[in-house]
Amino acid sequence: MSSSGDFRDILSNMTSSKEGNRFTLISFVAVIIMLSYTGYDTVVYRAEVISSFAEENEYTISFSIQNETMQLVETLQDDETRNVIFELSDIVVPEGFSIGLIEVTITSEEEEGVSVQCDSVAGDIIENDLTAQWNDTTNDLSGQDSSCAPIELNLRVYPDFTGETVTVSAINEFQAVQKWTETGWGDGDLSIDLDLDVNSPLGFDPVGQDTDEEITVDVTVVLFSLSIQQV
Amino acid sequence: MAEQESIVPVAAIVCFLLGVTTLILLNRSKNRIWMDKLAGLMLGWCLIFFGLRYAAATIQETGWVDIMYANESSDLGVFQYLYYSFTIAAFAILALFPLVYPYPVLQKESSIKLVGPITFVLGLVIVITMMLTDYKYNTFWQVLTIPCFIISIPVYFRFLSEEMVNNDETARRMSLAAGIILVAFFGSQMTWWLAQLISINDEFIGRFAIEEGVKSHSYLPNLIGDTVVNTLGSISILCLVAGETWRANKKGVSSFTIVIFLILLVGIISGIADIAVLDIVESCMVTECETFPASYAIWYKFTTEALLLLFTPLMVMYILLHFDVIDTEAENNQWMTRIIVILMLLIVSSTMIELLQSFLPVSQMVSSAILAMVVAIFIGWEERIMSSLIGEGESVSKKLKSLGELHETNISDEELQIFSKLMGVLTTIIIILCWLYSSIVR
Repeated sequence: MSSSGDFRDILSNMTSSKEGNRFTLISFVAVIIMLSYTGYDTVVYRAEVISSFAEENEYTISFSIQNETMQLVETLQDDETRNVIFELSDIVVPEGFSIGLIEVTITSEEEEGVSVQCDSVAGDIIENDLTAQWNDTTNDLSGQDSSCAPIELNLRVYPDFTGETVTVSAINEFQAVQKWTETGWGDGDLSIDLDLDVNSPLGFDPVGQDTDEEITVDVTVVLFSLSIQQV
Repeated sequence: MAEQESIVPVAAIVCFLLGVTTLILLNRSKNRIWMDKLAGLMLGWCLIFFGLRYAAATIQETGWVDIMYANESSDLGVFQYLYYSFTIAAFAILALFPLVYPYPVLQKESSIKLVGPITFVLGLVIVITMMLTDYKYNTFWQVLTIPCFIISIPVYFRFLSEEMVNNDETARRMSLAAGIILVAFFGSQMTWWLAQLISINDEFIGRFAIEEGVKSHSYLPNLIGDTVVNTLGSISILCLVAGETWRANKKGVSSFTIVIFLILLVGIISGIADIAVLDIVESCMVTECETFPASYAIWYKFTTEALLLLFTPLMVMYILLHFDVIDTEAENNQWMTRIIVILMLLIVSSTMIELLQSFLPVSQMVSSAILAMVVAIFIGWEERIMSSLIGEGESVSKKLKSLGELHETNISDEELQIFSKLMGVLTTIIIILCWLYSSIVR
């Protein structure tokens, strides 16, 4: 005996076992139940979650600045070069803050000699183990002056920190602030070389009083904490 | 620990070799019933497409594509196109296969003749559509596995019930064939059944979408495809567990029962492991994507990946030989069948040993010795292995014929061979299209 090949006959043959049909029906109902709740989780809920990551969100990161200062007054002799060290570990960095920049101001005040002519003062921030952006193009690591004006030096410690508000694109807040939550920057000592060259009018100091200079080094450590807001 | 090597190249060799051998053996098999012949052709071509898919993936993995096309701006190289296209071609066959085997729903001569053209058109239309949409919906077409579930589950339960209730011993071959086909179709999804049951697979889908860069993807159709296939896989394994438990109570434990319970156990362990790594999965959304622990990756390599890449071709080989799809009795087929069986088993065993060696501190000397033992066992038990595969072989088509449920047609071998010709044309079109399209959009 051969089947007619008719689709109805085939279907009725396939479903000819009562026990088998019962199991099949249970299986199909189970599929519908599972499809409904996993479908809701995946197609409705998860699709929403995923689509929120489809386009990166924009965040503005603003910085709160807090300055810590250190000062050192040194008297240098003519033609003397002296190295001064500022231990950054002496600064108490509050919780949530990082060191962003180091600004150095070197001032000298001419009060001696006949002509009260300004001496030539030079200052260099010396590259050492201090973890900072030593190769940053915005750094001013050396300066010289002979007009009694202060010498301004600066060293960027935290990568790309300027103190100005920045806008970033990221898929979540964590990744947006990730660049600004690195640790380890600003560990070490700040080393500065001071150099003095006493100037006399026409190179002549009859009284011979102008042989040294009092130099003040002010170090401002710029600390920052950040706050984030989705645009 | 040595670096974990990919098993994709091995899968490429296994699938391609088995596919080509199937077509050769089938060509030599005379006096086959149309159903066996067509099922053999479909399985053979499906294996070839999977082999080509894995070969494309292997070439991608080697990295020399980047060297060849260093100035390419598109993320989709020719081998990526080939990978997707051959996968689609294989799935087009898989969509129609359950209509032919183990219980043919299409039995009229006219509808049988249409199987080849429909597979060809379906494959080509999806390949072109996906290509033109930059494979944005590349997991949606997993819904093509729905016919397998809708047909194989009733067939499995019908013949299992007949065996249990009516004590019809010959009905087992039908339920076994349907069961093996379900495992071959949904094997990897079956290993996630617990995760799907408690609905945490969506978390993994979310992670992978974000990891791969969701910007250029359109999610909804893909999410539907994933949900459907995961659900069908989960319910399939639970159905098979229920059925095999019932059978084991009455008839005792069979090899297939052990396989089903092993997959169930793997699913339970995987589910627990999935719960354990949920924080890592969610890290992509909350913080940044953390990597999975090495042990978790190894577990999935040995279970889901090995089942999909290594054991599925073996299951197909079992269907071909055990259910007499190809004529293993024919004299000129015997030597080739023996070679291919031993070769397949050896390739899979040696790959598993290599995988073990990649994370266990086993020296090469020991692994070589283990491999030699495996070879010796296969040679020594060659007769036993072959007789268990072939000797007990009973044709599904003969069973249906004896039940009067198989339509005898006058369809000739030449008419069935049109399927092979169409698949050959489809392969050529895919290669030309992928090469041309990838070079245009580069």
